[in-house]
Amino acid sequence: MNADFFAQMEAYLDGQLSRAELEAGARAAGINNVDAELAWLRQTRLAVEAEGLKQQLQQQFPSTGKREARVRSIWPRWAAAAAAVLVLAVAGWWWAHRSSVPELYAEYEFVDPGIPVLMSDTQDYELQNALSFYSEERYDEAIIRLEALRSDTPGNDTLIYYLGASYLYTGQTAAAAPLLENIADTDNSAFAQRAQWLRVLLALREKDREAAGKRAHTIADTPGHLFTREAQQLQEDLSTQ
Amino acid sequence: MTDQKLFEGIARKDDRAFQYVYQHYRQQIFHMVQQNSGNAEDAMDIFQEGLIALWSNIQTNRFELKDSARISTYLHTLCRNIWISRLRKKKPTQEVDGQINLAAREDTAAAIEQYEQTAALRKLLGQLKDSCRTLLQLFYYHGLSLALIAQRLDITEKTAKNNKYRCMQRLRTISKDTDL
Repeated sequence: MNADFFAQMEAYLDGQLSRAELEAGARAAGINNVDAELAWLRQTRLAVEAEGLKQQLQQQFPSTGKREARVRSIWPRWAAAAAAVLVLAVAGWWWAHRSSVPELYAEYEFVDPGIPVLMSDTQDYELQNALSFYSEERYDEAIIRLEALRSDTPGNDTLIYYLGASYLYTGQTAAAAPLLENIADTDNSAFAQRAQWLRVLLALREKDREAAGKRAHTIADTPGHLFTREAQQLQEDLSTQ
Repeated sequence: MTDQKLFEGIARKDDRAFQYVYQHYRQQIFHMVQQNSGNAEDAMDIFQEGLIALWSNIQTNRFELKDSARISTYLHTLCRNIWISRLRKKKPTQEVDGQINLAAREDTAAAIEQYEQTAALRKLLGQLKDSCRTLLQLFYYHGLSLALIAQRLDITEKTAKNNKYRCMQRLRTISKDTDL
């Protein structure tokens, strides 16, 4: 096979070339079994896309296995008393070395790598291009492109969410806040829960413990929230500082 | 969301469709895995792999919406069979069949076969150079044109086209070497 016939097969699979044209190309390239070649290409394209989809799903649904729930056991009283002494000693050390809020930001940071595809209502090429910059963590370039598109599609939740996230990741919290706010309060947006968590991170980044705690509390109290576990853990961390 | 809308959303890899599936159907899948030797991480992985299998079966027309075909049932069956397949790779067949209360359902046998082939190829992608993986992902997954990819990678469009071909051929060689 050569590059030209390969391109012809792609065009055929994409509906841009007829079977007769493909077979003519196959004869020219000396290919005998066109169907086998097509089957291989279909399968390979599917695998590349499936791998991309796996990454998309892993980011959309963070693994619950990363943070295991703390296990509590019931100890006899003497053990509890001994443990209390130990806890006091450890607490004293820990108070002196406790995590600061910025450290909590780093600990809880969720970098949403972006969905490189495909809006439900539109296949907007420019938006797709902007999001692919985002996926590569080239946030400054993503911001330029997303801002350029914003006036044309003011209600697009995908655009607003990723623009807000880009601002957050580049430390521009004032610009990020209203955008994330907008999406976090939009119940029917697929990005609402992630935006809610990013608002928590935004508060941590701004060293606003109170706002971070309040927002984490709301998430922790929402059944089935994507970030319930993280929010509960953060609440504990904030309350012990 | 109707099954029709869901079907279309999954076909497009739309986040919103996946979110809906997560909110409405994950529990029975998580329960099935966790009741049968799996932990929470296994359950999430199987849920994601089931979605990938469902998506790829929609792409290849192996799954079509009919009166009797519900997405939730089909997804559950896919997850169940993927989990069985994974358990069998870890343990002898008899032990799996005896230990867990799972029976593979034949109605997704072809779908699972398709999924397994795709999964094997996905593993091989890891053997490609980073530059190859990036190029293939930008083209097939992100759906960018060769012209845009060329701009992005600072190469000519012709080079992008040739490199894409070479990367696909490299993948083919690797898969032949591993008897896929």
